[in-house]
Amino acid sequence: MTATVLRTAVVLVTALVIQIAVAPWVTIAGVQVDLLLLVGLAAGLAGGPERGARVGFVAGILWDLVVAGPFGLSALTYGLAGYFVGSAQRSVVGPTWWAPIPGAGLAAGAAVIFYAGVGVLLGYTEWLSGQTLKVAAVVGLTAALLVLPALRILAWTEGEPLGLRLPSRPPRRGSFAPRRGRRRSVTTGFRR
Amino acid sequence: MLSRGQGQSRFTLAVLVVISVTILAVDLLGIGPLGLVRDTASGVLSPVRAIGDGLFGRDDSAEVERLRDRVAELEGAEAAAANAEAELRRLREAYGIDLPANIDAVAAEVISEGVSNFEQSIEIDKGADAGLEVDMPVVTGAGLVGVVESVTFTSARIRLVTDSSVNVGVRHVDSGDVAVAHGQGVDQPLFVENAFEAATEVADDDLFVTAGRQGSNFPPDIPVGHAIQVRGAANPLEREVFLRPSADLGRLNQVTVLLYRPTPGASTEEG
Repeated sequence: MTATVLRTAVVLVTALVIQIAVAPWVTIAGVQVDLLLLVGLAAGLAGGPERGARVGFVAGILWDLVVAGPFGLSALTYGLAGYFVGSAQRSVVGPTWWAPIPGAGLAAGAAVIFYAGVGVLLGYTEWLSGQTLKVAAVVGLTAALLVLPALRILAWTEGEPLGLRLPSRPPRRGSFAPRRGRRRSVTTGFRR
Repeated sequence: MLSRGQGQSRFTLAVLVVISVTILAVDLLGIGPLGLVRDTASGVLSPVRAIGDGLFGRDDSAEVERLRDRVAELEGAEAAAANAEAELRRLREAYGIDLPANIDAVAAEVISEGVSNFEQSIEIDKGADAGLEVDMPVVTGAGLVGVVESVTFTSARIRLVTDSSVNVGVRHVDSGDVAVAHGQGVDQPLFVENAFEAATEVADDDLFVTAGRQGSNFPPDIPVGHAIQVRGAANPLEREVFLRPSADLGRLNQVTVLLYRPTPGASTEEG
């Protein structure tokens, strides 16, 4: 438990440092990747809705310390995103190795729109613009691209080895019986 | 019926949502130490930004090359430069828009741009040790850039004039009419809402400068922007104006902070 918390803290602080020092200089169409949102989403995908909500909330609080927007809005957004993506992954999509890719992309885009929407209600009216859609699209795209390595890192925080492994092959169509001795996929960190 | 795990995770989510909303409310009401916490975090993380800046950013080579070309061009055409200077002086006198000369100023280098996709701010390498205070105006040679939002001992965060929370009292140079302009976000023009009577003639490219009335955060006559669109307001007796900021906010390397404190007087809508 303590090791999980410590490893998660290391991941969060590392993501924050990269976000501050590197992300502003590596942009797509002028939009930065949102690594702290990605960590929250990956926590939800790898560890379920409760872990997603907790890690997303802490990631959001860290980000709120840095940015000039409404304090607490990132925490609310990232916590909700981690929770809902974890719930959807488990109850709707199911534990396939590819599901986190569209899941993280859609959830990240929705989180950006939620953040901007609440911001508009709080008086940040300039967020009601086409720029928000562009940010949502790029953040969603980058989240989809980075979610698999992020899942490996979040699985490491829960005690799994950090080594890279290819996802296991999906069972053949029409094959119902589980194969004996088949390894479970650790790429997504799901327990079957 | 919910399983025990589902119920537990929903309870956790509810608690976190309540905490988030409480923090949001505390921040919006401006009570508590959140501002201090943020300033402290900004000071602690400032070296991290500087490291990223040193490793990846602020490649000035293109700007240096452009300035070298410009110097060579001016040296090769001194007469033209003298003429241009005389013309500039004449225009400034005609419009009365000389930058205030009797205000102490601090030159600063931009060390970081906004770290968030929604942030309209920059960070500079001068802070309280250089005399900077919150709400001081920040300019370039071209015009108004923004206001000091927060200050640490060695750095400061500047909120750009395009941010919707920045309101600037502006004066239409040609007519002398005064109104309040505010930002609308990244790459968007400044908006002067319900500003002028329909009888006031505002043409494209008309210059607007800071009004600098008593109690204002800005000294008078700093160029703010040029009109790019004029349209009728909901009230047919008024019109709305959109301004292109005079300063190029997308290419800020050096800025000047005016150590200006508002003269006591009636409060304005600025901030």
